[in-house]
Amino acid sequence: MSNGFAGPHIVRYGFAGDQYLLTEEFLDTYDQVALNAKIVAFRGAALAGFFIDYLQGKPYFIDPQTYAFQLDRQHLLSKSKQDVLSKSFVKLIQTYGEPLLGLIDGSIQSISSDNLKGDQSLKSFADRVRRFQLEALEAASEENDSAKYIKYIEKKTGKRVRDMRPSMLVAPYFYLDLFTWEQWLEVNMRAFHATAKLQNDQDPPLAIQLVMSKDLLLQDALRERIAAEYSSLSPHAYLLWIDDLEEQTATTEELTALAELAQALSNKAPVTNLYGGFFSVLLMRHGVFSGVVHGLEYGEHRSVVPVGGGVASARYYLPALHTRMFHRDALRIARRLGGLNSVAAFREKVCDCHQCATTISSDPTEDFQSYGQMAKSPKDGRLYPTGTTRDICARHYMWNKHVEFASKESVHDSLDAMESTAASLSGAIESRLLAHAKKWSVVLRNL
Amino acid sequence: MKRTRISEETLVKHAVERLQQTDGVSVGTEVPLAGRLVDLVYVQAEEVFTIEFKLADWRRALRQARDHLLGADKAFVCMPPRKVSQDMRDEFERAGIGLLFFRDDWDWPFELVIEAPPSQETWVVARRQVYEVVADEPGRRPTVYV
Repeated sequence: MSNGFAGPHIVRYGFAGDQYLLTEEFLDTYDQVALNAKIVAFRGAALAGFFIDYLQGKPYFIDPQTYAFQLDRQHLLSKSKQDVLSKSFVKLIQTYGEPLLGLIDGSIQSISSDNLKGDQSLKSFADRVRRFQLEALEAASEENDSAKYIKYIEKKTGKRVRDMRPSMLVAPYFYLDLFTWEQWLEVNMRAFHATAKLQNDQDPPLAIQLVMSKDLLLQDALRERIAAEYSSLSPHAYLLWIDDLEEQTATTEELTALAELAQALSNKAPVTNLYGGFFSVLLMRHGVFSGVVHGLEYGEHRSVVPVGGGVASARYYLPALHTRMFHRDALRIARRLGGLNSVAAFREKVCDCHQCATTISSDPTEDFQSYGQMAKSPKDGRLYPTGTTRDICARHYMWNKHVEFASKESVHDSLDAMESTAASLSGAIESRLLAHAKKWSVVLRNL
Repeated sequence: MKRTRISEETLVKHAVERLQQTDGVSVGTEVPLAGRLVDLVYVQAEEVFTIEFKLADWRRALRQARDHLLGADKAFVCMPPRKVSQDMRDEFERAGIGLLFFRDDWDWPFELVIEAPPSQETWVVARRQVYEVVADEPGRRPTVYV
């Protein structure tokens, strides 16, 4: 059985408005799609149609987001209605069933580890979470016009043309922080065992997701103990998520701890970072991660709270430093690197992706403004990126991510290039934009 | 007697009122520039001046004003009169930002405390857009800014 990964480059589906960035010319630039249960629960039929009509059988998996229900109920509320759960959470709670149902009317504010103490209740819960992942898109696809045609073909040929099941299953999991990790660790272990027992030969590989806080990650003894507990299991894959760990602003201690944790788990099964950037890609080249998930322009790190949601802000991804930044900062750096002197200089010093080839076509000084155009909102008077700017920033990002994942450059060569760029900008550009080059180098060269 | 604390908005409003009465000066508020909204921009003798108003936090004002250098010929921070330490003066000079005190009792609303050198960072695109917004030439006002 495979480990459930179709390849190392995994893109997280964000929202319907940017799903076009997963299609057409980008379809072959990534390997797999990560979906959140919340969005599957809310718009399963539309998603199934999207997968059938546009993604041509691209493999996917669903993060069941079970940790959301150990948080206070206020984190699950609708943004528009007071004290009412969001519709997607109501659907998810109804699907997952007990012990979550009391969250809907507010008779409970969150679930505790005690709610999942009994083996039978945990088994039933694990089964519903498992079946949701297996069946959600499959069932929703029945409503799709193309699916009806495919069904007709399947009936006529006797062959299965389409399999809408996920490429891997994820056991129910809960968030571990410094204060409550012991009780939830025990639940996570049991939830994995319960799900593993439900697996049959036809099921996709089973992954376990480890989500933990930064302060817990930094406790060497606790991290090692947790790694040992997870290594005692036999999943096909590990999915790792450190709460709000942004690789560019993380400390060397945090990055080292992330690498050590991933390294420990990787001795047992492949590890994928669910929210990672170029640092994680380098860890992948180092053999530590097997895959990295990123969003469409904005999902290289994520806080556990709020659960899902959020809209991208348009920023320019600077390939030389492998980081997104405000347009004004990118402009300063591009100018300092000499990239605004000519189109050829821009291609050489700043970016030669497909999007920049179109956007930066005659005079980089003038053309570069396209990546930073803003309009004042009549609603609140604040500045927001225009639709065109959001679009081209995201396309530029996607092309660059493709290059990063496909590149065979060695870790050391990549680090040398980053450090050299950072050194050439030192003193002229704010140090906060350059600091990660040194930190990543220190951590990765010492692995 | 009840004493009302003056706000940055009030300072901007009073400054604009007096600048508008000055011949040869065009003025705009909340002007988009490099992803920020500049409190006040005025154009005089074809030169673009940006002003960030702050009551107290001059370090924050400096951070914002640094970005104004992309679209200004000269960038300033304006504050109510206060003591200027050597440290503060050094920081302003290092950043290439000027300091103004707001004057309630003068025709011209600003007292020059630290002169701003000409911006070394001006980006023609941003400067042109700021100029067009403030100079308010009919038919040239852009709806999209950098």
